[in-house]
Amino acid sequence: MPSNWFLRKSRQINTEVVANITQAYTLSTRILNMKRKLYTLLLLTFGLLAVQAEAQHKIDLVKGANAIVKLEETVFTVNSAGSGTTRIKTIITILNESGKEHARLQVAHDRLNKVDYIKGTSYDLAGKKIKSLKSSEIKDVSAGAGDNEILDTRVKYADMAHTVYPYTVEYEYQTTSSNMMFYPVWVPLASSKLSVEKATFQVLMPKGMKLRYRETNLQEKVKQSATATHDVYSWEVQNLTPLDTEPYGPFMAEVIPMVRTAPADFEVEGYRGSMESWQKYGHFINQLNAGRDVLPEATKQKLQALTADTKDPLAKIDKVYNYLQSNTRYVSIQLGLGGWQPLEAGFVASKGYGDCKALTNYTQAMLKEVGVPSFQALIRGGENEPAIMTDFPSSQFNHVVLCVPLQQDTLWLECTSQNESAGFSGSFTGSRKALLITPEGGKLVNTPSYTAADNTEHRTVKVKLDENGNGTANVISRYTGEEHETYRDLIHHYAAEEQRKWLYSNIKVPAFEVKKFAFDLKKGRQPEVTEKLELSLRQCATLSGKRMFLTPNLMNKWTTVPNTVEKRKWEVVRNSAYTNVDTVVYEMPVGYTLEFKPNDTEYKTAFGTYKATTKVDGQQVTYIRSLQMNKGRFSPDTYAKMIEFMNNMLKADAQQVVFVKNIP
Amino acid sequence: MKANFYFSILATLLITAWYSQPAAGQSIPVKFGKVEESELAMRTYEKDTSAAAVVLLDFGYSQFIFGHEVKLETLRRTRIKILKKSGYDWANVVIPFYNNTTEKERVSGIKGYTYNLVDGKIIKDKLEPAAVFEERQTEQKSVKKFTLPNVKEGSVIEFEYTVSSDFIYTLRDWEFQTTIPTVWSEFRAKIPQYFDYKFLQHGYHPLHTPQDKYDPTLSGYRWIMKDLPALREEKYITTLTDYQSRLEFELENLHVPGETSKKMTGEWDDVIYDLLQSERFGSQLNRKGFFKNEVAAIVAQHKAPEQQMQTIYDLVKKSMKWNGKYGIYTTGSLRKAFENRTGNVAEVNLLLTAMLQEAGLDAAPVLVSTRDYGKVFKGTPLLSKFNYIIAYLKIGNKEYLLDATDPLLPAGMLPVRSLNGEGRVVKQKDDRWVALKPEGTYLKFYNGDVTINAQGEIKGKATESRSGYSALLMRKTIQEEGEDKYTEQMNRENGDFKISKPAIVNLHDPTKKLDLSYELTANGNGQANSIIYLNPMMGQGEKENPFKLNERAYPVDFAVPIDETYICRFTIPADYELEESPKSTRIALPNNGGTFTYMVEKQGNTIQVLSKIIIAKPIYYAQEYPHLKEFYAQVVAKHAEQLVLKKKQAN
Repeated sequence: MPSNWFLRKSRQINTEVVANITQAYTLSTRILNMKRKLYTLLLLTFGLLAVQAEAQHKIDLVKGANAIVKLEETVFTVNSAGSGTTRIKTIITILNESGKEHARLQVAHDRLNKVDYIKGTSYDLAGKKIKSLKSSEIKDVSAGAGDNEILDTRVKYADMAHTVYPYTVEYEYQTTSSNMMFYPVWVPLASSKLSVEKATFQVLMPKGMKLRYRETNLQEKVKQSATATHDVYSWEVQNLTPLDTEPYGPFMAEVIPMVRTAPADFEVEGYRGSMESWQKYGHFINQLNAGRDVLPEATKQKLQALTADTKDPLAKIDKVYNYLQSNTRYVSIQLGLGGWQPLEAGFVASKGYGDCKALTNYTQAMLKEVGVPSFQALIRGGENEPAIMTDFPSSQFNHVVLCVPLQQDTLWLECTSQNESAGFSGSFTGSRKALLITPEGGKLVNTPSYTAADNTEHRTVKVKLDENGNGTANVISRYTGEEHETYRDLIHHYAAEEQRKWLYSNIKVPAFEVKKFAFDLKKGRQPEVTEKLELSLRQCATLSGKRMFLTPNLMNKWTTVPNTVEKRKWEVVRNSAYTNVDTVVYEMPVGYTLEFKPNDTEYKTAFGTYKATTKVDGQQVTYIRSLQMNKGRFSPDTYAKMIEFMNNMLKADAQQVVFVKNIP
Repeated sequence: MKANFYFSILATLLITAWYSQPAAGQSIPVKFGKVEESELAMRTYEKDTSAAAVVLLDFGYSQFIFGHEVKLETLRRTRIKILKKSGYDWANVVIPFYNNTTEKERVSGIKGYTYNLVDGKIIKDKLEPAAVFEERQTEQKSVKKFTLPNVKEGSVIEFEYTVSSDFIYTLRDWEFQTTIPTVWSEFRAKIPQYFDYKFLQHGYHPLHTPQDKYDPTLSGYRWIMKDLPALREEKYITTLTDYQSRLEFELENLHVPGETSKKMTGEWDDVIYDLLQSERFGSQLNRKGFFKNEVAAIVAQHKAPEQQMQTIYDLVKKSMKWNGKYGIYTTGSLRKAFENRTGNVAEVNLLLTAMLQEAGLDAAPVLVSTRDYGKVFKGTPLLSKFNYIIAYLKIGNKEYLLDATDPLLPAGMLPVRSLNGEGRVVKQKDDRWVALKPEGTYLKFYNGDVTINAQGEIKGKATESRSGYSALLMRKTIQEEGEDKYTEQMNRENGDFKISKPAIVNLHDPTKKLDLSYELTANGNGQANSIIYLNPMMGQGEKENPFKLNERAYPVDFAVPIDETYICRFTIPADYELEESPKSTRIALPNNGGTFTYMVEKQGNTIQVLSKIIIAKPIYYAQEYPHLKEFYAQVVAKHAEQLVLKKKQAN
């Protein structure tokens, strides 16, 4: 495709650093499989952004903006514990071509969330009406579900884009929900290159019902008032200027004005619950799950036979988990309340498929049958997701896993994967909080965390070069923890020919051929992959006249450095921690004498530690590089230090050894 | 148009004739609901041991049913062997079906089974009707979705369904090949004499003709392919369907008894005539009143036709905003589009054509198929093969191809999307093919001038000039990023080099070359060095071969030629000499396919390094791939070479 080609040619301006080639690729096709209707979550997980400081005196809403929200009014009226209505009116001026996405409206709906009406009008610069939205112009499409998803979520959308800028679009719409597990999250500045002149948010609670809310980064706190029938909570923001990105910044959700709301008591499809504490939330989930763990007699017998020869809980778990992995697969069927309530264990037993809730519930039932108690645990799954807000019990999850407490420690099971090691959480569900659903209610616990010592790559390379600088390399790499995930997926999802192609596009050696390759996965709580490669190298050492140049760092170079930011505003946030140790031993051709050898290098910073040594002993060059990168949050003024560190590594990794040909 | 317009009268006459025929004629090559034990016992697929799943059989049978209305009915039966867990997705089946306001398709008779071998016994699990879901995806498209039960490694799955369609003039493509290997793929079509279909075969695999007593007059046409490998994506291609083995159908003639035959495709001459008469194409070109004054003013002001072209082209680019939609027809009148200042590609470029014609210039629209839409087959004049319109203009002996959909395009240059083979000029009595060749190349010129001191520090300036597609791309990037943001991003230290004071010239004038200039510095090691090693490509060299795989099944399609020149002058300290430098070299691709020139010249204490890469052709055939790979291997190796500067011995 030409696009590939253009990508290669265009200047690299991406600012996300990829420390290890393998991290550039995510092969995992796993999809977050709780119902994809968490509209509010979408807003929370935008990415890493930071807010631009406001101008001191006159606030310029145009600078850096593609669109300005002139006025947005959101009114959420709770009708009862089981029903709520949201009315939104928004007037937005689109300033240029890049802002035209804001002329589009998308409103999601499903069996429990109805769209009552949508109105739209557009105006030109002079305020003259351009057109009104006709009902035939509102499209209704399914919410882009994948082949293995059956959802009832749909989207109504309208587009009032005009071609002469600026113009103004006004939308007004109302939705009514009977799924009161979700109250709105108000995010007036919901995208970058947008400013807000004024936005308001009102929640009307029937007298006697309690509203729970959490304000962040607001100019002004809530104002409370009342009508005859309702308690009224009001918020307002004014003159918000566009967000700006900073490399390695915090999540947008941390820095923008936001009001999260949640019910105390709520009702959905006849189930009543409370969110006042995590414990109560857990009780509600218990209600949804109640009576859904009945296994067919045949399955019970199979399980008994399967585990008859052992009393050891760990051995039983292994057998049950293995049975699950060989007899089921992940298919998501989520209709109505099916977004939160699992399909019954008997269904999974007879059909061999289900979504995360169904498969977790099924596994729990099977473990129970063989005498091993376990708990379901709600979680926000995904790589690089913002942490859940632990002190504000509310619906913040998109996935569920199984937690098996054992005498020594605890084992976590991912029940949607046919391949995962029992007990490995990794980057998808590891290092975060989960809500354990116990008979006593919900309880927040930590999932296994993966540190720089767990996420490792150890590589040994033996290279033999001839007098033209060509040669062969035998590479043995061992990957553990999060570092093994790419290779795990490569093993499970790619055919041999595709694996070869992947190696060609991911091995960063200037000119090479893959002669042989093999992967070996050792499963376990700390699974590891061993990769063996035989490469033939072309001009690994470069000849210029009588000199031979060798870059001893063969295949793990630091390659990019984020751009300089004059005045860093936000903390530096690093989300990944890992250790790489590369040892490369070269056997050089005879007849050369060392002319230059780089000095040993060491950099110790808060972000990581780097060390590289090069030893030359006759024809043998031994290069050892170790790098440990840390995760954490660092003060804004350390950003320059991080850039310096990365640039130092980049330079050190490019160092060369120089040999001169002996004159006979 | 609804089909029964033609056939409601006919239907009664024909029922007897057609209903007496057996449904699918001779033996369908597999019995539904019965699996072979050998298929279940299979652990890997011998011809591709890495396959996650294999299509054992894919069978389709289309026939026309003459009832109250005429329907096109297609039976589809598919059997797939699941070999690995990564092949489980093949058990999730999605059947699309379409409708418009008057015509629709219906899917019925969905049946499915999963077969497993458990303890030597065949266990058969049925797809429950309740497990079939329907989802309306858009107003025109719906899908039936189902997933087969109890799928494991080693399962064989099988499903069948029938699509009954009102779209009787459209026989859908039959795709023999998919992204997993296929053992046997067969399509049959029983086509009544009223339809003359033409068959187009695509891809790189031959049809298979079994030696049996199959009788096409009884059972319909039959096309078979067997042992097809998996279809795989590669870099530098147009669209994967251009390389897929499939069969395409075109309705050429319609013979309705009692009426004269209706030509559905006909000769180019007729097609062009019809197109020029059509309300949403030719008629629009004739209504020129609404821009008469604008054009008259241009003609009065500019006498030279080239200037008239340029001014009209700029006017259309300025006053019409392409809405991103494709198609060869307008959606309404050009006048309306002009008033709204926006339209699809046909509206934008037909307006351009009409204005050029109004100015008295020799202009005509051109039918184009974009790269994503697929290759144009020149055999049959078929309008459905085109999805894009550009304008053709002849001034004297010079021909221009114009596209006003992109404000960054200079006149005469086509966007990459439309660089796809040839287009058909729509001109009465003079319609013909015109090559959609890139005007200009991907041209980049780097000019650097730097000074090195004894500490190995480098200071200097560089200018990157771009024109053609290189400039187009860069302008797009800068426009998307914003100029400030772009230069801010450039302002950084990357390894040895630090870029500062970037400046962009001619950003907004696509007729001029785009210049990006900046200052650059590099730190030395802070010590006086007796030897300085320096890679003279200053970070601009090719670091990796873009062609890594050993073999290539498809042509390499770059879309446009490439011309990249790098010149840098190094002023070295007076007391140093050039101890060693890379050898100058020149290599060439066969058949004038391209050249790579590398030269180092020394004059006094100035060293000049030149590297020039020319990729002369936009497309290289698969046989030429090894040369291309070797060419880049040599470029990469050369660009890695170094200069060695050595301090002169003190006398």
